[in-house]
Amino acid sequence: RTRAGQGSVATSALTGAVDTRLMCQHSFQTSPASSPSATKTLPFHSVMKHRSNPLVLLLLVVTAIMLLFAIMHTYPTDSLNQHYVNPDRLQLDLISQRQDPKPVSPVRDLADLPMIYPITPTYGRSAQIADLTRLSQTLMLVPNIHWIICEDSWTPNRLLQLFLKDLKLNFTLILTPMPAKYRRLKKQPKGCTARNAGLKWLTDSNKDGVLYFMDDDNTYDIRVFEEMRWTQRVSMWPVGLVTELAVSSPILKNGHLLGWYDGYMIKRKFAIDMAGFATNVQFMIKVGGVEMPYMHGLEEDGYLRALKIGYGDIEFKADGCTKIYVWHTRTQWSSRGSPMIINSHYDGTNLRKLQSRIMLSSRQNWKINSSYEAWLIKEQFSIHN
Amino acid sequence: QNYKNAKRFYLIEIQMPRLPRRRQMMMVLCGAATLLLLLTALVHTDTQRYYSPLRIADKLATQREQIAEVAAADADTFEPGSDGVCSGRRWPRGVRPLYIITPTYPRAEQIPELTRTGQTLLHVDALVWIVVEDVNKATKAVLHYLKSSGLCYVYLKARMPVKYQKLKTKPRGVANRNAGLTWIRKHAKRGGVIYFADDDNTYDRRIFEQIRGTKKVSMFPVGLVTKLGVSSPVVRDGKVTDFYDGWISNRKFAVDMAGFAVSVEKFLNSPKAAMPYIAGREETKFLESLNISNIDIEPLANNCQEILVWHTRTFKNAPARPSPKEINITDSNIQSLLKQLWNGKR
Repeated sequence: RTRAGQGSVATSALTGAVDTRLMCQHSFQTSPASSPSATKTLPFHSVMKHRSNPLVLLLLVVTAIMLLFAIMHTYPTDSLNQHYVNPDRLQLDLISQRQDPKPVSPVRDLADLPMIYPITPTYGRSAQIADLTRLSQTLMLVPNIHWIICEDSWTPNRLLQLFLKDLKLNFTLILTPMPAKYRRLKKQPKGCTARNAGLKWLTDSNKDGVLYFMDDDNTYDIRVFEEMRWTQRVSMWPVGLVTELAVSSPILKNGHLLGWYDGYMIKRKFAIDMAGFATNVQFMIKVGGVEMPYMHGLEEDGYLRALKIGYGDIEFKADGCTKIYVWHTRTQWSSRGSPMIINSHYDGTNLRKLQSRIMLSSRQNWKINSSYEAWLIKEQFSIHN
Repeated sequence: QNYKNAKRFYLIEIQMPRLPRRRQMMMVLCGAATLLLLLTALVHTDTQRYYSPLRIADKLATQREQIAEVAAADADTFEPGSDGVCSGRRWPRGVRPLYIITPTYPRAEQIPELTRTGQTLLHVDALVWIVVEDVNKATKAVLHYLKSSGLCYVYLKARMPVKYQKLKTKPRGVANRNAGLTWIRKHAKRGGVIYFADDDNTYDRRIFEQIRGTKKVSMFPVGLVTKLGVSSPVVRDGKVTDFYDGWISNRKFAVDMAGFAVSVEKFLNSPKAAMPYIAGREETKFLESLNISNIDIEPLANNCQEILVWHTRTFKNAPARPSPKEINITDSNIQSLLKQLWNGKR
């Protein structure tokens, strides 16, 4: 109720109802002296005193409640009570779930799936980009993956940089050249620097997820990533094509570990291949000081010993170790590109651009014999002339 | 008397019935409240933005029902129909099909090679993977993998003829590829493109969409092949004039098997087009039987300046032999593992 001013429709909607009533019936009087008389004739008191029909009172109460309800929903838009959902997005999500083929896990990154960190040591060779390409196309079918690529060189490889520019995955590139003292050995502990660098990066960034040592020439069925994703400490599964026995696997009987089926005849506590186990990152960080030793043949055993686990801590996956999802394939060595592509005969053709995509053999191997090259080119050219 | 000099005005002028003052007042009050309710209701008709949880659940339920109906009517099939296409979600309408012919044979690395080739092909839509195995009796592991891969596939068997098995340099994969071509001649009724993909090569997924546009024959570079390190047509001003290959050897089309693709229309127009049983001349003789010349060749891979296919080769592994006598593997997982592996027999 306001004495001053006319036509003000109240400070609150509740009293607004009262004021409209006032405006309908009374004029506003500015003099304070008139207020007692106004008070007398205020119909509000008469309403309260009036022994009206209870139905009318009930109607009033119901209307007031409805009004209150309507007013309560005029909260500002950033209130937590309201859920704004885009119905188009809802439609798309449901349709894409239908479109994903059943054996393949959905590719969209999901917030509640643990992250997988594959650590891949690689080095410059003619088949490097080919192996990394087919491996990356496998990884693109798996959600929540962060790829750690470690290259064994002091400077980044030109072709690898081109490959990483087009790569549509989350990745981290670390340069991990092998120390000179190990490079001189006949049996080099390959990839140890790379894997240790990956472990250090994960420890320093305090990541949460599962780490997996993934070599670039092996074959990975995408189902292995879903097997390892929920690892609490260390999980293991069979690996095919390893050693003369054609498979490397823990021997399980009724879920108990009896031994190791592996053809590499060295006494080890954990006789398993590098691609046959995965570790939980937080567990590895908690143990502390976990490193892979620089001993050829004993890398896996040394790493698992450093994790200080017993046989009871191992989780056996792949349907009780009865399915093979990882294969230890090895790519054959291919020769590098010949310097013949640099010949001026091919200037102004596609070969000029193509030569930047292949690894040419080192200058020491070039037999700079221009007459021989000229003859070879002429021989090729004459057939199609 | 109090109202004598007063200004009377009404917020709303209504025809009031002849009722006592208080009743009138009550009626006005209720009317005003109802009007206010209507106003607030009008303000909140922006239904695009606000959904209650109950409405979301209803919408989800109706959408699930709709999708289930459509899925039942248009079930995902993994085997092509009589017209050579698969129905279902990996086959957008109006897209030219790709027919990928892959010869394979039983060996220790067969399943891993098929696995990684299949996982590459999972990136590509509207594709029929024709896997032709060089056996008399089908390999269970291959069939099991093809069924679980989620790809549209055709499984065929084609054994190399006995007279070629005895040769020193066998014409490998010819019977397999010819069997695939026979299937295409019989079943492909919606056009498309044929590509020969060996199971141990490496394919960048981008090449398949480029192949799809082939009108007659298309070619592109293949890496890691021959002593020159790459096999590619030489393209001058957008036209193929020459071939850069380490083994020209009097071939009209000096290309690798994985370096060219042929359109189904061109193939069907040549009823006698097939691959000969001559080691080293399979590609060139097949292309010659299609009656094409260099001007018909379409260069792909950005005018043959990129490498999207590599001729990788895998080291051979020994077959799985029975477990050593010293290890007791009865009732253990090793027994079932060894059953899955190739035991060396053909």
